[in-house]
Amino acid sequence: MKIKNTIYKHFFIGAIACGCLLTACDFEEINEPKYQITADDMKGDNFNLGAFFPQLQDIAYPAQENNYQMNENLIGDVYGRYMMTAGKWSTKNFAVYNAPEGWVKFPFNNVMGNVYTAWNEIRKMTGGEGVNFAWAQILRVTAMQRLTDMYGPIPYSKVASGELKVSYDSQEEAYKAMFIDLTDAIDVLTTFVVSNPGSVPMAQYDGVYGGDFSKWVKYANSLKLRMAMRIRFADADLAKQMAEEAINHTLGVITANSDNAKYNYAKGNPLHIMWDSYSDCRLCADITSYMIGYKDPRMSKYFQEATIGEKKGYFGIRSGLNSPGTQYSTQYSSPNVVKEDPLYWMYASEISFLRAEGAAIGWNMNGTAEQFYNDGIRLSFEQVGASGADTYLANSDLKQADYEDPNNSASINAVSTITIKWDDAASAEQKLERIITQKWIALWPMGQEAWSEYRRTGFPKMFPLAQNTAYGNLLIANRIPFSADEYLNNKENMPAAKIALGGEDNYATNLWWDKYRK
Amino acid sequence: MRNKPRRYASSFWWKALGLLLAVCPLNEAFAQKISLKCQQVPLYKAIELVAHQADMSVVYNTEDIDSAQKVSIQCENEEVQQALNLLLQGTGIGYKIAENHLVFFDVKESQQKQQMVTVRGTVTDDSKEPLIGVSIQNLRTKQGGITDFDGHFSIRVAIGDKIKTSYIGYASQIIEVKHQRTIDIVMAEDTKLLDEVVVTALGIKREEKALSYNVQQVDASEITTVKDANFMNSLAGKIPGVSINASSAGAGGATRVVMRGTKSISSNNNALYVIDGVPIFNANNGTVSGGEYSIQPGGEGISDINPEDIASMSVLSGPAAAALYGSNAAQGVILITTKKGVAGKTHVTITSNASFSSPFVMPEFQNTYANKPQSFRSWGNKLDASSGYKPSSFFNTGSNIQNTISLTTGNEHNQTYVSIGSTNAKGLILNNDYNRYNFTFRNTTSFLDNKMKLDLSLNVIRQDNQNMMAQGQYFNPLLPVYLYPRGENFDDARLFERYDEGRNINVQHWPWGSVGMNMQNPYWLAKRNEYGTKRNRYMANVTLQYDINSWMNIVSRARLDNSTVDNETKRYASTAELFADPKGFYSFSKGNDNQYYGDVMLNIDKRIDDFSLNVNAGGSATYLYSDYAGYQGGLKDLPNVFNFYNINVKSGRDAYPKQEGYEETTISTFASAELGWKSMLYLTVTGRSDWASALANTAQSSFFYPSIGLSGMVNEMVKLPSWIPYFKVRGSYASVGSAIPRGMSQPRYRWDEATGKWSTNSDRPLGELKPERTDSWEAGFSTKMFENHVTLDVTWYRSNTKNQTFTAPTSLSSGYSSIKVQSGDVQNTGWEVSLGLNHKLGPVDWDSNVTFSTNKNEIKELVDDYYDVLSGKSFSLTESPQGGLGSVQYILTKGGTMGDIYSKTGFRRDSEGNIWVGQDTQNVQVVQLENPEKLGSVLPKANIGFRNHFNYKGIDLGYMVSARLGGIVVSPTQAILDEFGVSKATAIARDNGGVWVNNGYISAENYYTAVGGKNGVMSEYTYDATNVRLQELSLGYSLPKKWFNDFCSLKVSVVGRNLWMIYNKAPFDPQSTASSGTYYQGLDFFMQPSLRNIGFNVKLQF
Repeated sequence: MKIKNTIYKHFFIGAIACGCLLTACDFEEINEPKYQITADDMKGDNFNLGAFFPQLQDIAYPAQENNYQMNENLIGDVYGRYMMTAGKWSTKNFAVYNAPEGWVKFPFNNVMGNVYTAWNEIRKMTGGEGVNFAWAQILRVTAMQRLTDMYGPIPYSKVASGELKVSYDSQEEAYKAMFIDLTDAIDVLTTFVVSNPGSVPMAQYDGVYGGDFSKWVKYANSLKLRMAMRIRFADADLAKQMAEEAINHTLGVITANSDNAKYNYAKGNPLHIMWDSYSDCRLCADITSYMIGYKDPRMSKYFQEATIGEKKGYFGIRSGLNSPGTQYSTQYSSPNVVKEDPLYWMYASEISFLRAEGAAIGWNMNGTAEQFYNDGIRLSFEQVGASGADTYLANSDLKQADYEDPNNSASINAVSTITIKWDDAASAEQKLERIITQKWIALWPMGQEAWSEYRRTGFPKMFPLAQNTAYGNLLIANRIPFSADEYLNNKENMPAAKIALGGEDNYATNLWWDKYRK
Repeated sequence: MRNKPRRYASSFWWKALGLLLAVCPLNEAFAQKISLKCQQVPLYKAIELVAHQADMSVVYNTEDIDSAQKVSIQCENEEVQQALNLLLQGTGIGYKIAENHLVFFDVKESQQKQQMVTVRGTVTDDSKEPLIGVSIQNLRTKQGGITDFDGHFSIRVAIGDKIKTSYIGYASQIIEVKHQRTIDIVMAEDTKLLDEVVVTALGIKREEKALSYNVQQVDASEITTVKDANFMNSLAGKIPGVSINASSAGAGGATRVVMRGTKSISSNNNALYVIDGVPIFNANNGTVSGGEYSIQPGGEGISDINPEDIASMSVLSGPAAAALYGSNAAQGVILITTKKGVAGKTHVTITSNASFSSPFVMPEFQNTYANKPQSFRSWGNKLDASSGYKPSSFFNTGSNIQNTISLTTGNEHNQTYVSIGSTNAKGLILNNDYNRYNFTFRNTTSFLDNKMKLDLSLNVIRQDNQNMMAQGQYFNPLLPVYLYPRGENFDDARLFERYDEGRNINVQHWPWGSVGMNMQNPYWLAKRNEYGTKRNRYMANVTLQYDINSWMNIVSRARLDNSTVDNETKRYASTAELFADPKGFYSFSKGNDNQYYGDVMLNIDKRIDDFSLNVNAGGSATYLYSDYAGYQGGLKDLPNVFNFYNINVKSGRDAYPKQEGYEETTISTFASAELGWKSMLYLTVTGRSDWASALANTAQSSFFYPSIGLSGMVNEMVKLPSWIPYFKVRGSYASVGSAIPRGMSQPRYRWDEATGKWSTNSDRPLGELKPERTDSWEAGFSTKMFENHVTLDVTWYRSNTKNQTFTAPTSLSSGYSSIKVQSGDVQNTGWEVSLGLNHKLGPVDWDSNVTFSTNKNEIKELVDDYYDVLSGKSFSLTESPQGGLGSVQYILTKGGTMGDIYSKTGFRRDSEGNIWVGQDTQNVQVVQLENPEKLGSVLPKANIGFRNHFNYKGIDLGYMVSARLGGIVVSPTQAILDEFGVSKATAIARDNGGVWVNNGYISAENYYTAVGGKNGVMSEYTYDATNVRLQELSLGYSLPKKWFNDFCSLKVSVVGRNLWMIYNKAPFDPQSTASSGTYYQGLDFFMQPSLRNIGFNVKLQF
């Protein structure tokens, strides 16, 4: 009995000791992840209202350097024929349609992940209505339009369903849903702007317009116009309706450079890192040959001169060139972008060119095609601080220059004969080429938009690839393949997504809006 | 109180005197001789006759003595005593001679009155190791006991009694008890030690034969003979079932120790370390996870231990063995018992070890083809003579100097051990250093009549390391060194910095740029991209034990383990802009890692008749605390001035504060009971409950894990052939849990360094969380045969690790990138065999040992129908990609293994499966594969270690050959060497006029540029990982003591490790690892080569 008693006694003491410890320490407090914040913490100074807008803006147009490189610089900037991956990836990259799987899936994974986690938080907090949600919707559409223009079908309208695996919208469905979301957002913001003039409640969280929702409305109208134009060969009626709605909206579209959408990213302009720290990109031969041919005064604003051997000037690399190494390719010219430069999302000049195209096909754009075309050039010159716009736009002789490779391996004759000066008598095709070519120059360095417009119209005319590819004569990809992860994680919905795509899941299949060149 | 012992002592001596009088005949001889012859006469008559002849009077009490009994005697001229002895033989009557009287008395009665005393003692073997379970018997009373786990015993005896010690394998001894109250017995080995004490979980000592699971004892000499800065590396290949991979990070790297296969998909698979019964906090920073963009790894806490302070180690490779440790025990436990002072003469031991290392396995390079002008790739013309460039010339001779001086002293009640050690190691790469200074103090005291023992120890460690290296592109000097263009003079790179007059500083000289792989001048990387850690650590231990009685004690332990750590990075001005601003980059953080541990345990060790009962029950509490803070960023104003004030806080590269930390608490109760029957059958049951802070906010606040085991000595149950004196069978089952990762149940918004913003969580909202669980079964036998010359130990095990918490990718269409799931079932099944042989080859002692282990890893389930709370639907996953490098990737699949590697790129093939060759390009084409191609599994099928040890007159010769069978490794290094035209293969191809594909030659440059590179055709760079090596060779000589007048002993030895790669098909050492994590095994992306070591040891003891 004595043994038993002793054992019991010790167990008893032990149990009491443990009990005390258990109640003495608050496990939840201990387990609290340090230096992280709760939703409650965010309520202070109403930080929660805006906390996730910076995240949305960082990704709506990718600003962080890695995201920028993978979402824009390696894809849009290359297919837009503004830049070329320099050397190290010369055999495996987007230009020659064999980018590593990690590159192909990156935009989808990165953009979807970042946009929707932030958007979900905002939706939860706003209940999916009000000014802030409307603003979030504009940012979401900005990101998603870029994404659908890369891949085609994307999950859009059912993303908030809570399902683990969401089906894809066809590009047509996605565009239509985005028009609705954008129009709703414009309405909500317009109401706010009208009844609260000068109010900038979200200034602290707005890196683009400093909280000025009237400018956001103009941006949203401009985005609507951009999207409308994009689909004009696929759904002419809707395109016209949307474009005219945007133009005729009370607050209208962006017309002045002061309303340009530009983002001041805290860490500076990511393109600066691409050419400088990374040495990953150099100019493309197409943009240099056009601008050299046009003796474009904007060149020195856009590009840095380079010296190759004895030659000094603006040297681009032929797209798809299999260069013998970085040593070789980094000699070419770099973009003239410094760290302090803002990251542009949309220029007034682009809107003017869009209106020019609209006017040229008889849409009500409140002006003539020529007027908007010339304004587009002038706005672009003004925006980069170049002079001589009027001389430039009056020139009817200059054409794209032949490309002379300073290293003599990839020289090629010019492929375009389009001149600068507006010609009202020109054919619709020539007008389109002229508008798009000048818009392309003005859009620099927004490669994704340049790529999309090339696909939509086939302009400007581009050099053939400097390397043979598995895609024969395809100059520029019509899209990029779906994220390989989706075939794994969203297996059930991918067959329907492929049907919605309407073709093989490769670089060649045309998107829904890409009807004109067929 | 003061009176008590004195009274005790005085009464003792008084009684002892009486006893002496009673039993000892006086030695004095009497002159009178007795001659007597009578048959069957009454005793009193015979006594009278003797007394008469002796001229003495007779005294006795007739009540005590039956004086009428009949006796017979016949003697002639005998001493009185002899005559009386003869006479009283068999009567039960004793006598004494006092002066002139013959006093007779009843012996039986007198003996009952003799004073019985308790004598205590210790039984050790000749190396002073305590022997447990030694049977101690009083030959007179037939009563006795056995020694406890410290070799202690106590026995009731009367003076003059004889006690017999017996222990299987040892020569029995019979010792007569005289006046002493303590008896220390040294038993000599009879043939060979058959059973021993092993240290098991929580420091509990157990007889090996009672264990129902496999515990492997490791002798301290295993880690001190061939030393490494991280002592765990010395054990590689020696313990079946334990895979130990040395780090390729350079001096100070963390070692990967995985037991019985990788079990956990996302949490740590490394073993738990326990020092003197207390689990220690092993801050392991050896995991690198960024693939080719990994940053430098750190070391680990366990390597702070001075191997000379280790007395022995036990390896508990299975969960059953470790069940008492709960969390982490699923991955196995390494128990370290440290040295303590020994009573007796003061000893000083000085050991000194110096070893030198060089690269062991290197890729094969070419030196005959130069680069084209301005190109970094060596695809130019053939040189007239070899360029003479040797990449290996970049490496220094590594060195590792370890010195320890230790002192042990003490008496019966107080023992002290003190040691001071230093370790100074230099890696192969310039500026890679590791320095460690250890101070250890331990004192063991017993008081309260030996009932209480106090054990105090203090370790103070100062450690610093610099420039360890991850594999990959970042900060890796091996890329530029291996790939350096063969037509260029490497001396140009040796002058790595040049004075810039404009800037007044030295700037990097590296005209080649990043070459697409973030290259910098290799010497600049080594000298001007510094990365280092300094750690000050102390560990204090207190153990207090109180013996409640002879079979029950209570032990309480407390341990503090505190480290302060400084991490510092300095990148000098003109470092590549990816890593620094033009003026440089600085990062510094300071942190604390603290562990507090306390436990109380009641131990019962009781024998009742045929049964023995061993119970340990108690509770423990652990608290972990880690906190780091610092700042980093590119520099402004002044180049190369490294402090916070000079950081460009606003717009410097990667400028942001760093603050991270955590707390974690686990409170546990545990109990273990072992019931033995006749020392032949043992049943062990354990249970433990953990209340873990990581489970806060979940439905289950604690978890329980039980184990049960049975062990039987077959040789005692049935009659076995005489050549099998020992045959034990055992079996056990254990279920071990581990908590979910800390903090997971409380999702928060995190600061995102990349964007500098509070960022969202991309995981889907969590459902119910449960602890992870490993169920394991184990069975085996141990036998000793042929007079113990042969020992064989065989174990089979199977473990299933379920409920694993891991992050599964979800379709981003849902708006979330991942989902935390608790599912999965990873099964490991394997065999562990250890066969030992010891024999004399003439005058030479020969020991031989073969270990063999095999493990089959299988993912039985990844995610099957996991319930998602948000959608209310179930979620399944059949494939889960993990880490990768370039186009190789780990992909876990249901039915696959944890080590399956796939290639995402491959040859374009025609419809018949032949390699496609372009008509126009005249080259093969590398394409993204629709379905990744499985290259194989990096996991070994089996491991074999074969050790031999010879001893002849003080000369020791030992060697070990180890082999790893099966599995694959992949070398993106080789692929990149090919791409750059610097591998031997490319030179051979060029000499041959190209690479033969299908029916023709393809230009070597075209072929290797396509097939090589990190995104090339990885199936071409996949190698069998099977390798056989001479892992260790040591030759020692113990100088005869008489040379030093017995004043001291001196042993000198020469040791070598990795001396000879007998078989290996891979271009690197497949046993080397860049990461102590689960993935990135078997992948070489410019890892540092493993090391070949040659060293010298001196051990002086006096």
